[in-house]
Amino acid sequence: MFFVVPLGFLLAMTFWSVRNFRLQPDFTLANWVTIFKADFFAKAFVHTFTLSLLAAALCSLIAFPAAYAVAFRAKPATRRLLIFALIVPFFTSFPVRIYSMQVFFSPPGIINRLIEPFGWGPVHVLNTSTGTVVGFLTLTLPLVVLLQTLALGGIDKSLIEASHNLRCGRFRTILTVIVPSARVGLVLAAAFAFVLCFGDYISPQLLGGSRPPTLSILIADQVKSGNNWPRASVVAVSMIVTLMVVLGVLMRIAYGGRKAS
Amino acid sequence: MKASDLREGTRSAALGGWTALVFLFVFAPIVSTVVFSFNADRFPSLLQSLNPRIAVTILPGPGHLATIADAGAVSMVATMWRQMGDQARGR
Repeated sequence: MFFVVPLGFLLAMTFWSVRNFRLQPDFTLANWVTIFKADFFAKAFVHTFTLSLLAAALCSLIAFPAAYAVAFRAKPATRRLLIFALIVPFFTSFPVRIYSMQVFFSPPGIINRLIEPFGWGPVHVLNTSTGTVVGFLTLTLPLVVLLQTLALGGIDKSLIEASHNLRCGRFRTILTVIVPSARVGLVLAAAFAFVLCFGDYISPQLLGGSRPPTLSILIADQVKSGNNWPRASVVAVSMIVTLMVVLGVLMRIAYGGRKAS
Repeated sequence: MKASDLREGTRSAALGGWTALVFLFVFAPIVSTVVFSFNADRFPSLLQSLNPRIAVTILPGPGHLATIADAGAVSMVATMWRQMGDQARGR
């Protein structure tokens, strides 16, 4: 009930109308037609989907070596400390962390000051799609490293030893033993990253400068300009459906070929 | 030292360095927030370029004007306003 009732209300609201800036219970498909015919919605959808996919893939690739080091190389006490350290970022507010990233990436910021003596830069990250991706990584990297570490920690070590005993190289062991064994955890980590990035409002707004707008910014704009909750609901429902499809595909990848035990 | 040991050492160093960079990226915003919370006035050139651009909507739509048009609400707002003015003047 806690989840279904608000979702049902959200879906019902997509058929309502707005007259004189007031929400009216109604049954009209006008909101769906308007949003799906709008060029800005298609552009925002493609932009949001592409950036989220890129960020999830990038995050998984960046996180894997770190998770591997924490899971297999660190001593047990160090591992516990590092896992705790990965939870610490969630103690702090995400907007605060993003404002802090602005300090790093602003034109006179820390990054440009560090690279200036080498004759490089200035790099322009703020108010670009790169800024949005940096924000997405700030949001998802601790979680993905944590999930990947837990997934890798659950692998049967004897499989890795067997692989080494059979003269299998390090990278081959990773590709043929470790990654398939931890497939479910690795895919779930990527899925979490995608879901968080797809619905994030803070990063595209504060680091990406809303240029071009993402779907979450589109929702805020629809509500702010004329109280158009029904059209905002249409965008929200499309996001939910997209996420369900993507999660379905990822679950198929994660659990595909496995027999239920 | 054997070549294989050297390779292993290089790999371990690279893995450790990468992990350190990942943790640096994760903790850099938190550490800088802590540092700036004590020393913000010492880094004006870093902070002056920031513009939070937080949109504040006082009246999201004319629908909210109905609240003001309500006689009871208007008198309540007027009373509050007068009291705040009195407090500001120290009465």
